[in-house]
Amino acid sequence: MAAPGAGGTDVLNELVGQSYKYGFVTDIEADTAPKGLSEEIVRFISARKDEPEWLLTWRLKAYHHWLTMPEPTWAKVSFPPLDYQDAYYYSAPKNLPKLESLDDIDPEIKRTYDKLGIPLHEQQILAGVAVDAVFDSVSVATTFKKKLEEYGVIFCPISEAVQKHPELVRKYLGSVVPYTDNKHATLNSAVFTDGSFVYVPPGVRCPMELSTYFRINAAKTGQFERTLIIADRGSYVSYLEGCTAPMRDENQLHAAVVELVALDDAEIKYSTVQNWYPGDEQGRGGIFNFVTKRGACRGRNSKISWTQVETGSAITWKYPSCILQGDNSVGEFYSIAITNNYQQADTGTKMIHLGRNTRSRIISKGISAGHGQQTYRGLVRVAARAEGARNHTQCDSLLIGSTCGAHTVPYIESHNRSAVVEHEATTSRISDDQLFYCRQRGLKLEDAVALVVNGFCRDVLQQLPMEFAVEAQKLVGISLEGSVG
Amino acid sequence: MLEIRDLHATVNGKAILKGLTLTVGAGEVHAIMGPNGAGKSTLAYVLAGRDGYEVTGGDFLVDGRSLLDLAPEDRAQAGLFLAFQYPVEIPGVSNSTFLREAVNAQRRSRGEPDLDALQFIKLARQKMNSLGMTDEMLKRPVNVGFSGGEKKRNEVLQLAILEPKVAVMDETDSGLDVDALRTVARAVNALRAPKRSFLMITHYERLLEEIVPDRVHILADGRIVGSGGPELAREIERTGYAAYAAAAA
Amino acid sequence: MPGMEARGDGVLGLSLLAPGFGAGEPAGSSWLSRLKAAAARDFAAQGLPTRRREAWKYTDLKPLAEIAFRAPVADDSASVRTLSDLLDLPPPEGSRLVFVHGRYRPDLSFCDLSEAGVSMSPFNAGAGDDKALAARLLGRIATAANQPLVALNTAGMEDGLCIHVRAGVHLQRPIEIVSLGSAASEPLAWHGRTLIVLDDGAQATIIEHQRAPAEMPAPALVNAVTEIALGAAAQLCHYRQQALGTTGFHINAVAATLGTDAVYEAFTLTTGGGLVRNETSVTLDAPGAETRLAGAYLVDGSQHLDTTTLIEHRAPRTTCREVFKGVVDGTAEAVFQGRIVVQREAQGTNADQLSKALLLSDGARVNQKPELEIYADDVKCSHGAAAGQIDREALFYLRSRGVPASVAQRLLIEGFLGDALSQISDAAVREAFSQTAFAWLQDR
Repeated sequence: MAAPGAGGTDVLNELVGQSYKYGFVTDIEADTAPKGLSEEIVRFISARKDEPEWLLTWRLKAYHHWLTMPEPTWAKVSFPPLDYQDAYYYSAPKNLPKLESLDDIDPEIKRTYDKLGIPLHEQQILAGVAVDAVFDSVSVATTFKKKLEEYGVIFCPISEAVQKHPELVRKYLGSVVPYTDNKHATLNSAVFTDGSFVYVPPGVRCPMELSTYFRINAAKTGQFERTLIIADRGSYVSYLEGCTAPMRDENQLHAAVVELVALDDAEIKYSTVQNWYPGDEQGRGGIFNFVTKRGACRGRNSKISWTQVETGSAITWKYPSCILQGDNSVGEFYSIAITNNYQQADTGTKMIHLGRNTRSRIISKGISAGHGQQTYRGLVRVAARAEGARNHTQCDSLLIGSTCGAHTVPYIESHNRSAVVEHEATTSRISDDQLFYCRQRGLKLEDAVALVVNGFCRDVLQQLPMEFAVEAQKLVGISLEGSVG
Repeated sequence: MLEIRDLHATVNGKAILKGLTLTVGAGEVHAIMGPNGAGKSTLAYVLAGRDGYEVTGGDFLVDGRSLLDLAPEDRAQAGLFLAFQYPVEIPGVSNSTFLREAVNAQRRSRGEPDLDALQFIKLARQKMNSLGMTDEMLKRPVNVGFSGGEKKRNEVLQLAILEPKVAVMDETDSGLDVDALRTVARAVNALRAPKRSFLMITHYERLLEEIVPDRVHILADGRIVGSGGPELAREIERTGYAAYAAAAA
Repeated sequence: MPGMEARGDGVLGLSLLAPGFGAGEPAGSSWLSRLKAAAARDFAAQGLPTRRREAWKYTDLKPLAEIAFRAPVADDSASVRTLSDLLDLPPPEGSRLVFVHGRYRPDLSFCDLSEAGVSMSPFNAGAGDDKALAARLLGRIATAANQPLVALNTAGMEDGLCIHVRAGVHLQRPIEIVSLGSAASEPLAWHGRTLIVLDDGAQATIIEHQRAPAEMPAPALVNAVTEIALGAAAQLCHYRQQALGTTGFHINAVAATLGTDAVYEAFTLTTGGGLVRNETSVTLDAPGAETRLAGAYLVDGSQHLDTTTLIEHRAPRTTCREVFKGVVDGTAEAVFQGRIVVQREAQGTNADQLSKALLLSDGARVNQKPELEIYADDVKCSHGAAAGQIDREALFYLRSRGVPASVAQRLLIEGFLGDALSQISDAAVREAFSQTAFAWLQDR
């Protein structure tokens, strides 16, 4: 957690690095680095982004630490060992042909867009169709940017923030998820290419949901995304990540890191819809989504709220967490996870109560269908000094079909007597009675399933910003297609 | 409108319906009465196509079309409605969402466009007004925390909105006090129409005081063992089912 | 294994298998010596579990490795006098089998032979079929693989006891098993082993009393294993009362396998112990099998109590219900780990688990890990876990009615534990266990 770049290491790295630096770059064509991971690649990424020395040093420390780390094996997911040398870490060549019209795209994807009710022009951009100049998303973005500037909100790519706001980035980067945290986060620290940076100044209530208009940009984010959001004293921000539309990517491994910092009286609401390619019905292909998301409620009365709808990816490994340091701070985790076909998800949260009268709430709704395997894994820890802490956890799993699995693994550590910690979990099959009732009223079986499952998820769906919620609701139904009948 | 021909059905391998034949003409209200275990609720579930209720012989038709091979939703779309004896609770799904999904599913099957939220609310309000119900019921999750009377009224509301050709009312009177029974009965009476048939399944005669049927049938041991006018219901109330049960055995 | 500190003997805890352990093994029991030898190899390969092993995440056995334990000397009659203090039990209703340092003591025991259809005999001295039973089942229900302490027990056990109730026999009186340790001046370790077999349709109640002196000059390691096999429709009520003083390491593993429609009911009441681990694993192997596990614990000082359960549903329509409640005072620490596994073939499973702890003091701690692992869909499973202090509003309410704070607190704790105690279906045992629990509260 220490600020990166202690002098001695810097010098050393400079000496070691300097001789390679330029020679290496000249070997490389334009914006592309060869396959594989090495110190040179890390230096290359940093150089391409014209990063300051301290950041390079930090990346290198992460890289060297990464080399010593074992793969985490505790999650209930199985996959063949990752070959880190068989991947691109910078500007992987993507064969995304420009399409002439929407008629050229995979009809399956087109159908999903329609079901989600995504406007035509957004469909075109998502699908990579060459867009008519009449629709100018950039100008829309510019309008928003102007407004944010008025309020003093900084919202830009993290690479830009490194150049323009180095003091903020240097102060907070790695302060919530240290570069030594876990194998995937450490890899991200070494090779992250871009992501979002948000800073909300004291007392400012961010005038809009950040990144609502960003759907299109979000579709192009890289595989090692790094996001850093800082809500200064008394500020508020709601950040939306991801996209309900199915996202395809040639890269199998995605290892993002998101760090949130809430100072006194600040609030951050972070909503995610994750719909990466889950693989086909036989479980071939699909994204490995190994994400580290963590928020620090550093200040008194601060609040961090995570809401996630996880329907995509072949494997999801993700535990958005809150470190409740400030007295009276609040952490929330609302989650819907759906695993269908051969998807695997091991997801949950950690609520670490350190301050007095800290409160946390966890609602997790897991739906497993087909051959899906899903695990809720959560930790609630009340430290000895967390006088008056409160936690309530509700964890429900719904099973559709006899070949899926649902698992619940909570760790509940209560080390203060005045703390009240309550955990409840249920697992059951989708109700035949409910499905029959719906069908008797004329609903198709699939629609009946979607309706009943949406009802099951309601407590979480209502935490999402309105326009997201409507699409997410449709997404729930789409994700379960083929799970019954 | 509803024609049941020599219907045989089993549940868990046990024969429950053993050759039931019955015809309800358009605009008519028929009642089926019978002792516990006669197969009354089985008949309702068989018609609606519930899993586990296996038809082993015979047929039934709505508006001249056999529904036997259809999925439950296709039967509903063909105009068959079942008012459940025990309407199930569906947490998290509001009544209005549920009903709109149902209405639109049925409209789609007829090739009609979906009702949008506004059009639907208008329709629902209109129906509720005519039944003397308030909006509040639309906002609540389907049947969750409803009293017995509210559940039955909700069934009738669905009937009013979905406008089926044949409505099978399974023990609509069970669990209701006199006032609630009257409210529900008034609503059903309001929904009687020349192109709609009702099959009222009941154990007691008192519902039939409120909804006067055209015909009354006695079901015992899986068969209709007696039919008559409304007076038959009153006779049963006096003498009980014993004679009919004996006849069936 | 990573994280293990090397000792002179290579693997942590291997001294527990030093010469002297298992010396009392009778001659001519080749199956038993083979079993023990294999288990010794298993233990040597595994060593004592460290906290890196998920099943031992919250209980640290490292202190064990620091102690040079030795096996108790056979028949230490000097210690019997001091034991009499521990034997404040009322006269037995039926059979009472007394074990001292894991060894059966006929001189202190009483075998009620008036009931037909039951036999109680050492593994090697039983009638022909009981001997065969032991040879067939021992080490098969509680396996040494991946369970280092079971391996240690198997390797280190001397002879053990087999209780066998024959088909259709309903025992009228409970069988008591009393396990005692004495205040020895040097660290002793012993590994008691019991096998309980109920044939089809048999019914029995077994009440265990595990006692240890309040203070012991030297630490002791009690590492007991009980294996239980229930035939079709057999019913066993298994009640344990553990009054374990304030020191020592008490590790109890119970493993049961259940036949069709068999019922295993177990309740454990624990007061005290230095470090106590009660591990129960039940395999519901045949359709309709049911288990009810419950317990209450009361710990204070620097005690550490670990309740670990594993229930595996492997057949259709199997049921489990668990209720554990405990109070933690002083700087004591309680652990509850409850894992329920429902395999794909176990359709129609009902599983329900509850674990609640009351923390009475500032240093008290509880770590809980309820766990559901479900591969079948036609299931109803739930678990709940909670930790907190005594309800302040209820406390205030009672005080406002004139009840002194200390009494009010005790009443509320009694009520809290009552949910667990009420799970005991035998009225006499329920009453006796409640008395013991409430006396602990009275004395604190």
